[in-house]
Amino acid sequence: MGIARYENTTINAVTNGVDTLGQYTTTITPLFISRAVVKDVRNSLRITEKYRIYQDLVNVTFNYTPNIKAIVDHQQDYSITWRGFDWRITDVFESDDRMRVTLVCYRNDPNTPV
Amino acid sequence: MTTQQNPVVYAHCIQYQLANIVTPVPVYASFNRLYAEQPEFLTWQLRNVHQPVYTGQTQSNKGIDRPIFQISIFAQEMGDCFNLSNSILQSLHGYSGMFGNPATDGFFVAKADVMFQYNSYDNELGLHQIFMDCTLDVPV
Repeated sequence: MGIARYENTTINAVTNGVDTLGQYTTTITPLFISRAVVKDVRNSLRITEKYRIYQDLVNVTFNYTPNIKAIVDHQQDYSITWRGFDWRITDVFESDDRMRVTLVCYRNDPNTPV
Repeated sequence: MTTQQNPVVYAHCIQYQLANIVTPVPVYASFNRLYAEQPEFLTWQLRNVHQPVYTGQTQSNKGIDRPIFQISIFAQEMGDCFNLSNSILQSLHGYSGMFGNPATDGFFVAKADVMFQYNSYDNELGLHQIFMDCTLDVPV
């Protein structure tokens, strides 16, 4: 049996707007903090012709609550801060007994020239 | 004798003016990353910023600026697209006066001339489109 890693996370609201030049803006506002089960931390590297792209993936599991249900319904409006980085949600898995929700979160490191 | 207007002022003012005409429909410069979620929106692009230059050694010996900005209207419903184009036509075509935010860098336009180019449909985005050109006559 594996070891459950409960770690501190902050759930943020992601707000999109426009600045005075018409550029798209993203603002992150902390909503609440929570403890989540973190697992399958995975960093991957993809090498294209010119760049090395680092992409990090992690699974975080929360208890099913009204707040988490809101994230399930509109995953693009939320981000998660874990280990000091801003993670966006790619996939959402709701357990069939509605006890837990697992979010697959990703983060890109800056591109690095080869 | 005229000076050249800074293009960033045009950008500010186009954004302000269009956003005021079509509010609450969102307006973006060039590109909207949220195109999949928003049923209607506008993008604009500025081009042809040019004052005719007259012969002579004085650099400020130029005519009026006539920048053109393209307005691209996107909407899931064709009728919304045409109605947005109508709002812009009614408000901008033949307009003369303050363009942009008068409290910051708004400026006077002698004439705004809107040309409805064509309507279209983008199969990849699943959005109806209308393209318009607006020419400003800017006496500086």
